[in-house]
Amino acid sequence: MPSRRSIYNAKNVAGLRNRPEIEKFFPPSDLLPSCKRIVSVMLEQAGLETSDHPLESVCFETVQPDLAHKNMDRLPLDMTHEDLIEAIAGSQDKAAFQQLFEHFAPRLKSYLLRLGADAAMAEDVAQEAMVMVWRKAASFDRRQAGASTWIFTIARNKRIDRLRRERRPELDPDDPGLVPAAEPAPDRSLQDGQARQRIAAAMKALPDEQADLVRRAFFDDESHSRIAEESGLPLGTVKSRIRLALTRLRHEMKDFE
Amino acid sequence: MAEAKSNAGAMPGEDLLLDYASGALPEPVSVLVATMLALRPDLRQRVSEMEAVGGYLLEEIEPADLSNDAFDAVLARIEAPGMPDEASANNDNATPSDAATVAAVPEPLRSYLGSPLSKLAWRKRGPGIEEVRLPVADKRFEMSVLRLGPGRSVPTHSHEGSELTLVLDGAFSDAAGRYARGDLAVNGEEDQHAPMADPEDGCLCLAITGGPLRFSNPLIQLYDRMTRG
Repeated sequence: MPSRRSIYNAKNVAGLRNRPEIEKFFPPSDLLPSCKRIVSVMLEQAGLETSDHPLESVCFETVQPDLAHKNMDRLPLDMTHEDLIEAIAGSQDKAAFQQLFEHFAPRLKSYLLRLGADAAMAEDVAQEAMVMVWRKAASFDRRQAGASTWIFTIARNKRIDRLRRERRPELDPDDPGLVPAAEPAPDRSLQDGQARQRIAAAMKALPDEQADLVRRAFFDDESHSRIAEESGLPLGTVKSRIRLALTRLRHEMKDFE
Repeated sequence: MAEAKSNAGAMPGEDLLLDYASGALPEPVSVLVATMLALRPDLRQRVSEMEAVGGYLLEEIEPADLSNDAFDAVLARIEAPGMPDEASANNDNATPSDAATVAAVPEPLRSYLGSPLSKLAWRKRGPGIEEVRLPVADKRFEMSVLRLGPGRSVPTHSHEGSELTLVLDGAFSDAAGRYARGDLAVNGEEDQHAPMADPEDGCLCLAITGGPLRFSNPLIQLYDRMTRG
């Protein structure tokens, strides 16, 4: 029975379509003897592969865990961030974690800097947020939120905790006192990439001024009052413009469904 | 519910939801919003849409340079033995509660109560009105649970700062409309209002004010000073 880690590596291998790609990913000189046969099967399959005879089906049955270890640091780039988080949850996959870290940690630091943290604090909180990503990976559910949304909420809470020294009260989804939704939430896993594209398109469709207000609503600490100060608009006007921008954003997002 | 909401004005708390999603709210207001979300699946959906916008903005942001050893530092942290696991430590110290309290008061507010509704130190604040003040670290705010008997009303009052009132159980009405379970009433400093509890069910609600309530009637002001001590 192959481990989960090996299955997940095999899935990556399945994305490799031809001999040079496979040899680049698994250089013959690097391979443990027990793996050589597997790779030769893969090579054979790669030549024959068609859409109705995917390479993956072979790899699932045959790839061994030691093959995976040998190639820890050479994950192909076609895994989604959601896949990476699940790999961390399933098998404490440090290579997957590193890939996620390289993408998100510099963005988290940037986010924290924009919210007024100094460089040392921003780096420290970004690191802590990534530690939380590792620890909480098992609670990630791609049907609830995409990877960037989930990581955003972790960093948001960490910032409140560290910079404002406050608790972040959250509802408990398993609380018997919680009023459940009449119908289950839409399964976002089916449309995760689309959801992101939808938001991107909706943001681009907003006039610059409104898109900027939405950004500042997320990146300014003191709620709307500082936006009001900096933009010279009365607070009530800023609030109504943000509301307008959100309504419009929501409308645009719906149009893509 | 739908009728009640349209009376009460469409979504008075939209800004609050955004501030909750972006992490801008002070703790007491966060408690109120999170509790409202527990009662309102429709608003949970709104907040998750807003959080998705936050996730998108995180993708879009210009990355900042990390220190060279940042990843190693994080690896060292996750490999360090005996670190408390926040993910699993959260639910271990559940507050004592009972069925009636669970039915009326969802988390996170229930943990802030500290004991079942029937065991709280209710203080009489007028005929048919009882209040429990909840401790808040942020001294700009006061947070209370209010219990109004059937048909009872809070005398006309105004307040310093605004007042947020979330209905936990029963309902109340004021000049703006009727508020049922999960509905939020937002009153500004200048607003004077006299909410009246549902004639059959009474009303249990969570109220947050930016300052102590100021009663307009001088006799009640006197009563207020006496009861507050």
